[in-house]
Amino acid sequence: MIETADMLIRGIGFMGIVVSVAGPILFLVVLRPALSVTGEEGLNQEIGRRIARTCLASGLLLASATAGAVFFVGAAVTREGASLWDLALLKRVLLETAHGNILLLRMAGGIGMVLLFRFIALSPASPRLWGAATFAAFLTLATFPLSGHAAALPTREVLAMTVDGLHLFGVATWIGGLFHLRLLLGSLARDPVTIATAVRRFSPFALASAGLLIATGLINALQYVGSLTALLVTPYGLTLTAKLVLLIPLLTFGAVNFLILRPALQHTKQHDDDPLLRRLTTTMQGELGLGLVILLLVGALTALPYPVEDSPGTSDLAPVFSRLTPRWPHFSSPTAKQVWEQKLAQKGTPNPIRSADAIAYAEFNHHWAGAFVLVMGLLSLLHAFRPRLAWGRAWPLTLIGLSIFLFFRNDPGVWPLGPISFWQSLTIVHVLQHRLYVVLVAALGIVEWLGQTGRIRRTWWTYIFPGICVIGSLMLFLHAHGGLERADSLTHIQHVVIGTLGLSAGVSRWLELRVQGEDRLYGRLWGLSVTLLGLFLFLFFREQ
Amino acid sequence: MTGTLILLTLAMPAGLAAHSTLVRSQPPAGATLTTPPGEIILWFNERLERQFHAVTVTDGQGRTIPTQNPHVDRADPTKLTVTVEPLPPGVYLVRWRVLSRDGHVAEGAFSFSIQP
Repeated sequence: MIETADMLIRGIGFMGIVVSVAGPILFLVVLRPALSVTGEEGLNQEIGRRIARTCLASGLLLASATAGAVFFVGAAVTREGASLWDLALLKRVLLETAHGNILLLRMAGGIGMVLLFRFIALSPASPRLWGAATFAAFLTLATFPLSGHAAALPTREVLAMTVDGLHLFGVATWIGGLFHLRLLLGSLARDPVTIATAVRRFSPFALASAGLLIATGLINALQYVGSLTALLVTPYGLTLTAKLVLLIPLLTFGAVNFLILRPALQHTKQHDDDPLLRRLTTTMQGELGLGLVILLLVGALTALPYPVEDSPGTSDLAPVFSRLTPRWPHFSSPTAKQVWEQKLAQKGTPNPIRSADAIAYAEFNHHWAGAFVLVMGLLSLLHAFRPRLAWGRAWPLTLIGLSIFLFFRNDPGVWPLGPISFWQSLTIVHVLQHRLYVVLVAALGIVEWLGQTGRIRRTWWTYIFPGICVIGSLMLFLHAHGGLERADSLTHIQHVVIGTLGLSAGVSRWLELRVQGEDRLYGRLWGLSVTLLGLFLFLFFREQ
Repeated sequence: MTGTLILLTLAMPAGLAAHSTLVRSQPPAGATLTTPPGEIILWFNERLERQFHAVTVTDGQGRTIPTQNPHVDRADPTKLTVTVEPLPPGVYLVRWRVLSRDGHVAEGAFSFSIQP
């Protein structure tokens, strides 16, 4: 749990610095010159003020995440020792270790940025304040490679830290810039010429940043992973693979903006209701959403151990191929009573071993839960290609079927299949959690179906389902695994596949809802992702 | 899918994400020695912090063997050395715990034996 929270807080820290660095760059290099062309000094100041406020918030986020990181180092150091709130120990971590010194510097940088951006929000025309804030942001950015894997390398650490720093700078100018630009689109929408100018000036930056990211990413992959096997077998390599896979749609969104929307915007005369502007907003959201997800994966990468030559699991691909070979699912499983009795027999054993029946029972659950997901995907695809067919609109009903299946099969020891009564089962924490998830899945199915058939209006709630898909998938990536053990790696492979497909499903469903039927591409992507996810669970999932 | 993802998330085992990996040691893991070592040296794949490291040695009966002066080498920060008193024949377990420069704690153990 601590490891997962550690990865999450690292990801949040990355988001904080990326947005903080991007703000001044976007304003000073892209927007201010663009706004000067259109001669709107008032708008110029308003935009500057808004960017400064966003950077102030991201600076606060960064400082808080850094403070959290100090506690996590303290918690790791005192795993079997003193209290987490041992302030004397935290002081030692901060002052007596090189890592702590860097975190202290980062916290100071974050607080400095917060103060400077607060002043800028009060007087956004001051070039000195913008200069000082830019300097503070870059100084703070420089602390990241000084505290990551690169800093711990025994050799070539300076080169590795430089590459890390450039990689982060590339992320800042692209994803961070996009974040600010998306927030500002509302203000800029008053003047389509300004938007066209801003997008025209921003696109080359985004393109150059993408090039920088790919180049530095390749160097890092060679540095830390080294071999194709390690890329496909180890948790670090697999998370990096997922990041690379997600980079493909991210680059596609960027290419659409650069090659199609950017030239088209030069000729637009309308605003507010311009379909081109709406399309730009949607692709920017997709690009940004994926970018933020990738940043969380970067957080996971900094917390995961990178493969070491000759360590277990980095030399042989055969078990991986074996795990990724489809296998027809079982049509029967051990009874709940059998599994429960075997579990009872092991009660009190120091290191209980999962019985073959318990494994078969769990695999049966996953395979047939996958069948429900597969049907949902196929119905979604049908809906995306043939929207008039009523069958396609019924895809949310499969969630209700899934929830009923899970209700019966989740916990073999409890009602209705096991001896523990329904009310008694609610006093067992993990069973209560499972019951709540069953209710959540059923509720999502009902609400989505009502929305899909037009019985209720789609408002904010409509984004809960894709949001849960994204968060659930991220949790699969961010969960820490026990070092470099082979069994953990093989389990992680499954989680990465499921997580990647889940992210793809969540983001495409989100975008499908955003475009409200104007573009069927996202609906098809959603259907395809869910179908592949269902297929994977149905034919490939293994417990061991 | 949501349920499946949530269940998978919950079903995953917790574990310590080990970072610094023990690359080699003196005496090596699993070695059988004819003379007792004066010190135990561990080499890692990452640079270590000079603070927050620990090496404990226990004998076959689980008794802790006194160790002295555990330190990270200044010239080679991947090297951790600890001095041990002359050990009688038997099997010994070395447990280590280190904090690497990237802020991650790693731990592990290996054994060696000394022949009579």
